[in-house]
Amino acid sequence: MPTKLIFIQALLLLSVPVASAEVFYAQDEAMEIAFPEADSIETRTFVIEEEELVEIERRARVAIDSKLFTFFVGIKDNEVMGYAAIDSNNVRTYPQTFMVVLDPNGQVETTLILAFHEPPEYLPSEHWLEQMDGKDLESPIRPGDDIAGILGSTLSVRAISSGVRKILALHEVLF
Amino acid sequence: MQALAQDNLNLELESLKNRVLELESSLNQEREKSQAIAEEVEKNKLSSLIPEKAELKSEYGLGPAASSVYKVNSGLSIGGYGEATFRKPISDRTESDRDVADFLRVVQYTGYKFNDWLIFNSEIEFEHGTTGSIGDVDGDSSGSISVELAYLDFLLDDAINARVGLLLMPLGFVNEIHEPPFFHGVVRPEIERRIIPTTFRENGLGIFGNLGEELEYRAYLVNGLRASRFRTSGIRGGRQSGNRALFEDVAFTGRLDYQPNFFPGSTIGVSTFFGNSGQDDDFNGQDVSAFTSITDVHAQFKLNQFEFKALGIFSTVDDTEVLNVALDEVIGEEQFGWYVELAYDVLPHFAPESEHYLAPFVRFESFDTQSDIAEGFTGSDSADQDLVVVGFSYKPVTNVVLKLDYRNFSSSGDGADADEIAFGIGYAY
Repeated sequence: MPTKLIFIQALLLLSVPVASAEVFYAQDEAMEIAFPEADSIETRTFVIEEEELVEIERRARVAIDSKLFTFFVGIKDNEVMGYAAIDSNNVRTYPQTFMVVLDPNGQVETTLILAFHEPPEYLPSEHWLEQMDGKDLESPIRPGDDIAGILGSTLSVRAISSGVRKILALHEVLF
Repeated sequence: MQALAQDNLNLELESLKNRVLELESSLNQEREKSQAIAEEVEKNKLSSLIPEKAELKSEYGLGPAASSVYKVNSGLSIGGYGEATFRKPISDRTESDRDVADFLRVVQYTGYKFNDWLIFNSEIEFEHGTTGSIGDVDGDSSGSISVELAYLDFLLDDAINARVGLLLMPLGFVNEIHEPPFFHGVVRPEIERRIIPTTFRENGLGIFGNLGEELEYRAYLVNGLRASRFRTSGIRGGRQSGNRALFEDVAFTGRLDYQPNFFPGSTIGVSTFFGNSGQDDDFNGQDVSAFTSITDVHAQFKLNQFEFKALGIFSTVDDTEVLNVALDEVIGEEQFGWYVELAYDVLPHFAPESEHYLAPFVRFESFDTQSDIAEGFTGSDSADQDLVVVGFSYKPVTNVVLKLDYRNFSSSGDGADADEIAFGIGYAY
């Protein structure tokens, strides 16, 4: 599996117009991107209680399908650098896996697609993903409202927007 | 009376207090347990979404870069590897042993995934820089271009898949996985050159797959070797390599590897190749079967920074008394060899944060390409040799390697090859 990444990167470097991509980043690479200068990365796994779940769903405006959730907390000089979460949801028929990194105040710092199993033409660009930067739940994070659409990729846009809202809500309620 | 009731009450209170403490402690224990389970579940969930580490992994026994085509969704894939060597003979030199820098090979893998179950894979190899003549340096005056593998895979089921085309014989370690970042030493182990004639590939078809999680196998029917090209130095010349291969004699080749789940990074396996090699050629008016067999046993272990590899090999050629006369050679009736190798990545001791890899290694090899010969013939001095290789492999990234080593040959007779220092670079992508 991990070869995919190296292989795909090699392909991208060579600009060969081929094969639909799958996995772009492995876990260790995602953590390196989330917290490049961290002294340590703590894993915090939460078992979500019923009341919390209702509140998270209300704030995120999405259904939560698991009562387990994990945040990664980057630590540098005994201070929290930020929070990262890796999650997966369905785009159209196939899933995507993405990472949202929040700063210590709980605002989106980076959003990154780690794996994408739909055809590559539905993949949102990194530039498009930058729209999420600085967002928290004060913003609607709604396609067509404060999030620009991508022609022909409505479902991708919707999936990533609700994914970001879910992680923001989880962070607000659980921390 | 009242005092007694008070005492009873106190006792009861005390026991209740103890009970609450007990419950509290068992509740904490349960909480810790469920937290541990939650963490484990989350870890598994994450690993099912994306891999834990970004490093190469081989598929179906091919070299990691050669496996590129298995990892795309559909369409074209490319991969490749290459290696260059500088070799300096330092003792036991003869006239022909001179310092040589060789761009040994540049290899391109091209694959095409037609759909989920039909894959084409190929390897095209450019050896020694050019096919133009460059004058005589080391006996070979020009390089070559070869198709080293080209086949169609029909992926039917994890347990049984079909493969047809020009196939790599699944023998030993290096014949299938010969990408330089994945073996130690500038030069491949001698046993895997002299007894397993790496790169050993023939036309044929067969099946491959995984039996459960721990067993991997391949089994092919291919054209037999061609005994009329066997030499004193070994059976290497008898490979037909997909070039209008005579199929009068058929050979079987197969491999079984056990990779136990309880010891990740370890492999124990056997491989074999056997079949007649006569191919209806004429040997001084005689038609011989020249049955040829190669059998290997191999093991590999990786534990923390330690890497251990061992391989033992035994091969036979029948009818050598006829072949020797007809070909004017002394072909070994039996060949035997083994090697053990130990490497250790030292870098974590000096730079624990580093992603680089620096492993000193030592390999001891012993081989005899004429451990038995037909009666009435005299063997070669250089057939029976021992070899110690010490050196290190440095990888700035997983797929790029710089190698430096010293090879010391010894022989009971006068036939030891020149000892040498060698430097090499290698890459795979």
